[in-house]
Amino acid sequence: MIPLEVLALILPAVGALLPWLFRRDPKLQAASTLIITVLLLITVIQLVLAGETSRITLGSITPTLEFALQVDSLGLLFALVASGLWILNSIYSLGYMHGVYGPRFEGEQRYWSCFSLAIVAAIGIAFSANLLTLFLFYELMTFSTWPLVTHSRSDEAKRSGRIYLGILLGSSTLFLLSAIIWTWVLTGTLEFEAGGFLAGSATSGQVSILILLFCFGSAKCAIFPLHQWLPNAMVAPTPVSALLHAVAVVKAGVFTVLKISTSVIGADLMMSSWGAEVVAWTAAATILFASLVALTRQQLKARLAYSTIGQLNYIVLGAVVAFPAAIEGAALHIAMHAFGKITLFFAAGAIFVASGKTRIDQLAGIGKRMPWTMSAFLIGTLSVLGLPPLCGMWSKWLLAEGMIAAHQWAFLGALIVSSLLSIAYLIPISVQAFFASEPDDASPHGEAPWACRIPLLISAAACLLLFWWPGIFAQLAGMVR
Amino acid sequence: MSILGLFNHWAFVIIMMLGLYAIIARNNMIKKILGLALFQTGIFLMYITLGFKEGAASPILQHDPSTSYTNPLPQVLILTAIVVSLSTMAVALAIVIGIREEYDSIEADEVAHLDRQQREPGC
Amino acid sequence: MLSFLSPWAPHFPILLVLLPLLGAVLSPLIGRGDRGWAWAVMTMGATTVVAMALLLRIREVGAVSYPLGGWQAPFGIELYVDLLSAMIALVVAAVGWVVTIYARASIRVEIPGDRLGAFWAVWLLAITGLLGILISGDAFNVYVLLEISSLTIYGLIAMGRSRDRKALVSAFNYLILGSIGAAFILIAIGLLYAQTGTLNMADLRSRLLEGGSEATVNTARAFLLAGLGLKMALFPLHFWMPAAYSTAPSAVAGLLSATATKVGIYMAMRFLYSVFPTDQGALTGANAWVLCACAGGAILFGSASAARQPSLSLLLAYSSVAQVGYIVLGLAVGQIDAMTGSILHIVFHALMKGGLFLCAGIIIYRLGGNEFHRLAGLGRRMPWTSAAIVVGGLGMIGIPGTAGFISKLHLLKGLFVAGQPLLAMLVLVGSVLAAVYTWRFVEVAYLKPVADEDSVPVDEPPGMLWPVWLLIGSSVLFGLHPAPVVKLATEAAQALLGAAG
Repeated sequence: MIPLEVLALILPAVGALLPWLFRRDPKLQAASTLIITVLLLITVIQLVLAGETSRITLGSITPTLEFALQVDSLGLLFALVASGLWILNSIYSLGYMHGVYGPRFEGEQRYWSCFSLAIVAAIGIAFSANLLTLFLFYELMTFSTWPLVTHSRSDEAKRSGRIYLGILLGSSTLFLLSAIIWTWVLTGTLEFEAGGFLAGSATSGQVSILILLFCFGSAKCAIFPLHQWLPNAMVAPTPVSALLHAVAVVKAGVFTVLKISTSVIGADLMMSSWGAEVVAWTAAATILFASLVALTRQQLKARLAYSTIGQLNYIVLGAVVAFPAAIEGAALHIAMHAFGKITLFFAAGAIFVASGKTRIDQLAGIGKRMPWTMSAFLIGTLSVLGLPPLCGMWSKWLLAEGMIAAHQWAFLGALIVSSLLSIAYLIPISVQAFFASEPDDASPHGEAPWACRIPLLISAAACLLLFWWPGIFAQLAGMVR
Repeated sequence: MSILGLFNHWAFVIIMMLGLYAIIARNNMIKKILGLALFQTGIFLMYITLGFKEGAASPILQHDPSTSYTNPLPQVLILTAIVVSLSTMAVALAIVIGIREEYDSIEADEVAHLDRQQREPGC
Repeated sequence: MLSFLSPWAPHFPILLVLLPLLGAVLSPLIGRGDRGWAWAVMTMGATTVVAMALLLRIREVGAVSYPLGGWQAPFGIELYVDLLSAMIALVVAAVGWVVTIYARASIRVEIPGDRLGAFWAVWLLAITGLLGILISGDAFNVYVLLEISSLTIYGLIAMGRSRDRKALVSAFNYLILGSIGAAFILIAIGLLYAQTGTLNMADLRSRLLEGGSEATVNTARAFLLAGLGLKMALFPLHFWMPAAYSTAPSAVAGLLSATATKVGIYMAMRFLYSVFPTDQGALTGANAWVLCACAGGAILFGSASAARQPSLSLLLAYSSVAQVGYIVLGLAVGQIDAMTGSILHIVFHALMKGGLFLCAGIIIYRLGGNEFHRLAGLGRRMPWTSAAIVVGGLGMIGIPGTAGFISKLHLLKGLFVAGQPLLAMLVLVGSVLAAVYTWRFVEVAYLKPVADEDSVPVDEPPGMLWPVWLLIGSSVLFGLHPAPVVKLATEAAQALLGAAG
């Protein structure tokens, strides 16, 4: 009997092989991929129901240094979000890729295969038992998503691919790896432990430098000045931007920061070190900076990308402020932001499939042609803003509560200002879509295909439902604190 | 010990340096090889000097127990090293013959020049 | 395992040299072409089995001393094999075997039949020399065996002339420099002999520890390091190596990159730690600093140069310059984890770089050369070869899951423990640069469109492909389950440093 967490790694790994096995039969390929995604979700739900399980060793380097898996509540939260949205995204991918690139596009197998590998990496990161395993899957994620970013193979894609790999690999090698090894040298272990294991082994100066290395090493969290890869990654096809660059990859970055904050360094050390303070101020500055830049971007996906940068740094801020409520809010934000932001990206892609439009000023009156899509977009917008009755409110609420409890008025201010700014850059899109009149020379088009529309309607509905029943996500996030 | 007492040491260092100079400064590959041979010969002289003793007999067993001998070991080592040096020479000359066949020259700078010319049109 | 060999067990050390030597001598009688090849494969197979058995035996009984002809050390010539030498001997024999299997098709294309004459004899003789160095317990024998391997290697490199006449020039330059290097080693051995009156390595050590002229010992060490630096292509004495590796027949380049420089590094480890006196097991003062500076220069210069080369072979050769730097860095720091990392990297780099050079050979075999402009769209034209290069390249970067990560992890830990975080940073910068040169290939192979659509896909010869994947695959296997090798390397490092301390 294979342990469930190993099964959760094997399933998407098998999913990475299927496109090559069924390369002659697209229908079989699509069907098998969808079955895998559903099986994965079932497996993860089983894990949630089973609660905490024992540690599983995958391989060992020395008796004290192993590749190992250990399920905990934060990991379950991340895995649940990633595997759940993977199903929606696979359906959406079918519609989008066939709509944009035709039924048998070039590099089809590579696309599906790398997608599945990125999910392997996300699940692996979620269930890592130690820093070494986390680093293994962190790098796997970088490399498996590079072919997706450069999917179009244009010069622009190539340039973006270089920036993507350069920032993510450079920071993780230079900072994250050296922090991991330094931790290993100081403490003799890399195993995650609730409440952290660094206390007593390092001086406060060392802890601060480690915090800086860890946080800037996980550049997937898009902290300034290492955020530049994310807007560049938007050259990828929209399903990639939706699942990977709004959910799996970026959340892997903030998950890493959160995990290190709670299980390596520990809340007490976090709160007393100047390193955390530096990171917190940088994150707050990133939030404001990203919101301001988002205002100036006319490309829809670029604006969403900057919005993502801001939202990610809410989580980083929560993780380094490290007050219980802030941690809980940060953890919950991983899930709640995912549902809102994936809806927005799905909608952006649907608009592109249906009309070929990518700029915001082209969207005047599009709400009448694409009522389903734009309604979902509005719901996603409101959720990202954190307004009731949508799920985005809960995590922001908890984050704000954490800031108040920690007496961090400046950071609370940053949250509020950036929320106002996000109203300024997101709401006008919907306003234009629904209330502006279409230019006369507009070419007629209808809605996106159902394969695109269903996933975005489901994710929009989820935003609504999760406000009333935050249920399992709230429970898991609560257990993190 | 006087300067002259170290005569052999001076000699081997000078021979070595002459060889090294030839390797670096001569353009002709055969002369480079000769320089290498000279260089190695200098080292042989060093070894022989190590085992030499003033007024001692060759290391062949004599009936007189009071005879002092030179140390045979360095000499044996150098016999081996000479064989190695000889083989090096042979391989080197074979390679030079090959270079002459391919480039029609054994001058190092001409050969380098030909290589560069060959590369440029391809670029 | 391998118990049928147990009656021969005491003679394993000498068999390790005798088998390939015998194979080399008989090879011209067996014939050229496929029969010669089959003979070489058989010989190398038997040698690998013996190397494996020797390693297993040493794990059981500890280091083995073998008095040749029954003359006891220090008067007779001694073979001495410990865990370190047995490990590297197994790597040399096993990689040599795999490359021999691969060489069949490659050699047929790159070396015309009339020049093929004694190829397999020379090939086996080179491996004999390398294995001999590893098991020798006598300083002068090390010199002679080094020259046997070097002379045969010059000949092997020169055989690349029919593909690229520059092979002759690079072989000539290598010969001159290599002979100077060997002469320096000879001087060093002579000085040691003058100081102690012995050539046996264990005996040398005990007499050097009794004291004596420090000036002589230091001069000897300096000459030795300069000579070995040339042999192992340590920056700034590396310049013969890229030319030689990129023009040699590809099978030869594969063999050399995996074995020849590694044996040079082994000699440095052996002499610096088991012959010369050290302070508490660590190198001190100028020795350590010079080596660290050279290693650091190698990492930065080698990796940065690799990114600018016009062909895959040259890229790989410069990458080797950098990788030698990693190994020497661990050696110079002399800390147990760093030394473990060095030993691991000797093993793992042999697998990865050997495999990579063989990939370059497949490309030459099919496309006639491996300059980057020929490689556009290689990911579609030769998918398995390209994939192998990518996996090998990830190993060069040291991505977790590949063997390169395991060795770098230990090396970095050692550097941190030794209080050298700056050197650790240097290693990490080297990794990033490795990503740059690996990605240069990836972009050309996967993002550039194929120039000529008719040429898709190119047939990849399976007889060359599976040896490649054997090497590359084993490097991934060791990356995911490295515990046994790490244990061996740790014990070998302990023995090396322990004997010194």
